[in-house]
Amino acid sequence: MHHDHEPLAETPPVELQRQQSERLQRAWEPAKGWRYWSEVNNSVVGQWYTALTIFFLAYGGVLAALMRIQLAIPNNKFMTAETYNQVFTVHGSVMMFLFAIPIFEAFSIMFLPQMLGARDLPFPRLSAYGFWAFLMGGMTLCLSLLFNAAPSGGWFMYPPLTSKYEPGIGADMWLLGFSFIEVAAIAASVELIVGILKSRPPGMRIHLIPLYCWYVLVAGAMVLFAFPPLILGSMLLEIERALNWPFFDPTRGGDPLLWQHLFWLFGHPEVYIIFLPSVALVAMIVPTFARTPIVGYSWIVLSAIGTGFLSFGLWVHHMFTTGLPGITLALFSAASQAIAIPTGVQIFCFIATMLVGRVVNSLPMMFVFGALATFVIGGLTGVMVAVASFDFQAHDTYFIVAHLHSVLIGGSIFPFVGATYYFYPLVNGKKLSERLGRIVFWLMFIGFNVTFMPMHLTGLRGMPRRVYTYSEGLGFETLNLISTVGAAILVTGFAVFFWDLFRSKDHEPLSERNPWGAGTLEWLQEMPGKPWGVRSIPEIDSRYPLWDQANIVRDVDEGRFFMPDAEEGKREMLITSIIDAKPVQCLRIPGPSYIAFWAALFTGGVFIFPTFKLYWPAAVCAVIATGLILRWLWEGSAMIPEKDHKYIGHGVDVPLYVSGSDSVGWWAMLITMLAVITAFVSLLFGYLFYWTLDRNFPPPGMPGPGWFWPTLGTALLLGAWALTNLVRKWNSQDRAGQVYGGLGVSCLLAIAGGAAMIAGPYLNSMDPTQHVYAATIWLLAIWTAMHAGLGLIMNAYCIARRAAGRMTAKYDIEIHNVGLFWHFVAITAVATEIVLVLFPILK
Amino acid sequence: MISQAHTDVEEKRQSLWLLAWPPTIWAVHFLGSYALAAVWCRGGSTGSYWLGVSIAAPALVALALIGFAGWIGWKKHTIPGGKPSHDGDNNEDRTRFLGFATVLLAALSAVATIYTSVAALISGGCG
Repeated sequence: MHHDHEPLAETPPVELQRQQSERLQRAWEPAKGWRYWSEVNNSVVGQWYTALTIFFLAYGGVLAALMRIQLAIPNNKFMTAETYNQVFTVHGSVMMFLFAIPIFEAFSIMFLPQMLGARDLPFPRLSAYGFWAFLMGGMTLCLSLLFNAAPSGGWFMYPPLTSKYEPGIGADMWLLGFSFIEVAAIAASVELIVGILKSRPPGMRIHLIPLYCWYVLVAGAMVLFAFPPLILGSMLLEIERALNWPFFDPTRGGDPLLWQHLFWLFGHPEVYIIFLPSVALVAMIVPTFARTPIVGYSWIVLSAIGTGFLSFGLWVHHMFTTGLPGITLALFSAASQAIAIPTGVQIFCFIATMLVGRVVNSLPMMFVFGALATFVIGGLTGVMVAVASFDFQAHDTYFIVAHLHSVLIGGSIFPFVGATYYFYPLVNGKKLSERLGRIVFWLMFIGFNVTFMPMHLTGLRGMPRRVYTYSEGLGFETLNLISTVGAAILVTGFAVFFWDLFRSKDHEPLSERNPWGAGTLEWLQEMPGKPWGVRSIPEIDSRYPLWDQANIVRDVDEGRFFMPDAEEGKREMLITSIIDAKPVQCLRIPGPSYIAFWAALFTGGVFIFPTFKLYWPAAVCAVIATGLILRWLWEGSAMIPEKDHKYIGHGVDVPLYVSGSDSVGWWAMLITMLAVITAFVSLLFGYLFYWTLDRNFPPPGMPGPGWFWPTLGTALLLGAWALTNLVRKWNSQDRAGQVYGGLGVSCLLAIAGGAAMIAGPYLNSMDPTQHVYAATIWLLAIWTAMHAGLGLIMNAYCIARRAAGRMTAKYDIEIHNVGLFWHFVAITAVATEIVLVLFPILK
Repeated sequence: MISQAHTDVEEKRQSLWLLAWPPTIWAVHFLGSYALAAVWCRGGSTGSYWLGVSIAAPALVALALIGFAGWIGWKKHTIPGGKPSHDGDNNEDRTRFLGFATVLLAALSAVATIYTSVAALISGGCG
């Protein structure tokens, strides 16, 4: 039988409550003064993240306004063609990579702890690292425009334009800068996924979690599989630009179309990575104002997961005009139609919820209506362009511009603005202005429609996108002028919105608690919020605990639930099981530290210096960044606690230290490696892609890596893999000699295995600049060798931890996680062996 | 004591992976179809009706596997216990939810797989 933990029946003594609050306050007090910037608490970092993302939104918006000024009249001289190219490239890139995707991660980092009744998320320093990386990468790109050094090849950077005809540093800036930001995005995903799976309050079972969490879980998982193809593609393109390896050069066996595949393998799921978290906001707002639980919870979960999967089967619909086989177009056209089903289902669920409940007229709901209407229009034109024959006409015209902006503004901006009005009280305890908000809504909604509706027609009349001007007499003048007028209205709407957001609210009263009468957990928060998040961690019985659980606010506030104290003065959070959210661990998490900042700074050096062809400084940065990350792990993770268990109240004792698949670190490793292996699979896709292009691939007569060295390398790496996982067992039996010996030998095997991988192409004199075959083989070998190198560092780290007494037979998080890493090395090595050695033989 | 009937709904017998099963089968079939078309059509081959059939036939296997996942989901969804609206904090309602979400995903995946094969049968050409 299942026993629920009820809140304490009696009020704890007032003096005890006071002492508990004081201890919690001391543990969670944000750092003061300059040290504020060393804070790592997710609620604080989430605020920085959101503010920065809004800055980028404004930046991208200004660029959009400049473009509309240029296009207002024919033959306008406001901007040169080159400037215009840079402006539209940066506009698209900023809006996609620096606003639309990160805003979901920023919002989630900020609000997930509240939604989950958690004190924090499991990897606060990782969030801080992601934020600083995002700041550095984003600012670099934005500043490049001011120095006339921005990329100008469009936000999707097609080669050969970007490989042969963009000599400046703009394209390098894009490729390296965004790879850096994508790494940060993957870091944030790790945090969000593990946070949702493992840090829910007791009783918040998998079918009771807020819908927002489902959507973010799916979007986070999509990031893991969508970003790596782009990172890999960017790597290939940058290597071609910097080292002349011909991945996209058809004269040497390459093909520019591979870029389009890799880009859209990212680019289409990305649309849904943006869209799903925005619908998630809608799914939180609608029940609140309909005053009723969501209708069709399971159906919405279906929509989120189904959309997540199907969105990976759409990428070719961006490539309908590239001459792919007719049947391929048909397959992707079919998938593009199928995704309309789950997208429609969730919209019907929202409508049904509104019909079942009684909708209260409110500002956030106006934005929800605006969002749904706009998104449906964008979705329907999307179904139109999913029909290949229609797309042949509309491709690269303003029809597409109109379509994608309807999807993105309806599917992202309106929900974002509405959610800002809704959630703002959680940020500083004050409400935004209802009166200004209504003005914002009408300006934005009218402005949007006046701008983008005419563009459908402009496009059908044949105006191509990305032209910096047009001649008179083509029938574009009036429509463009209307669009520019609309843009002015839209910009005014944003100006009022930003004013409302950032104006001083010192003299305004605090909002009442739960001002909208919502049912979800985040509205427990006091106004303004306390640094500890929740005073005690509640037991959840319902999807809408604030509606269904009597006295929950009082019980949480008085510390009648779990973990109402910080006895040891440490920052602690509760880790629970994935399906049923049963308490499994009290996790101690690190407090303020600059180490995440420094690690991000030097990681940034690794990506930014190569833009200027400064490879040695980049290498130095890589070494320093590795050192910093090791130090960060050394002092901030897998700490051996002073006692085994901790009492968290209600007769529950949980361990302070768990390892293996119970630990959050293990999941972080698994999730990260799924992303890494996806990048590797993308590289294999490249190899097979070249093979389908050319019957003579690998080209006869060209030297290959031979069978000996790759096979030896694979065997050695498999040895290291097996040994490391044996060490895990020996360690648990406390056989110190075997542990040190095994780790030492596996280090040697890793070095030898990596070297043997490189020896294949090297000793056979394969020239990577000569042909794409040699380039691909080299890259596969280097990729595998780098994994061996990482494994070497990890095994050496385990030796050091064990020697320092920080890893023991009982406290063995490190060796579990490293063993898991080696599984992925083994998979990589075997796949490399198959491609390098077996594939040419079978052929 | 936990009775035998209850072990079916214990947490360790539940998994989120079941949810991913039906759409993963769609994905595998879809990717296989894409790869088959790419290989079949390479080097300027014109393709034929048989290409469409080679995509549609394995779809039957895919549909069977999706159906099997849906059946498991249905069984979970129809276990006794819990009480309507089935959103309570208990094992039965949780299991019913996981089951029902699996059924829905199986239905969607089946539709998407059928779309794939119909598209392939109608347009078997490489041109």
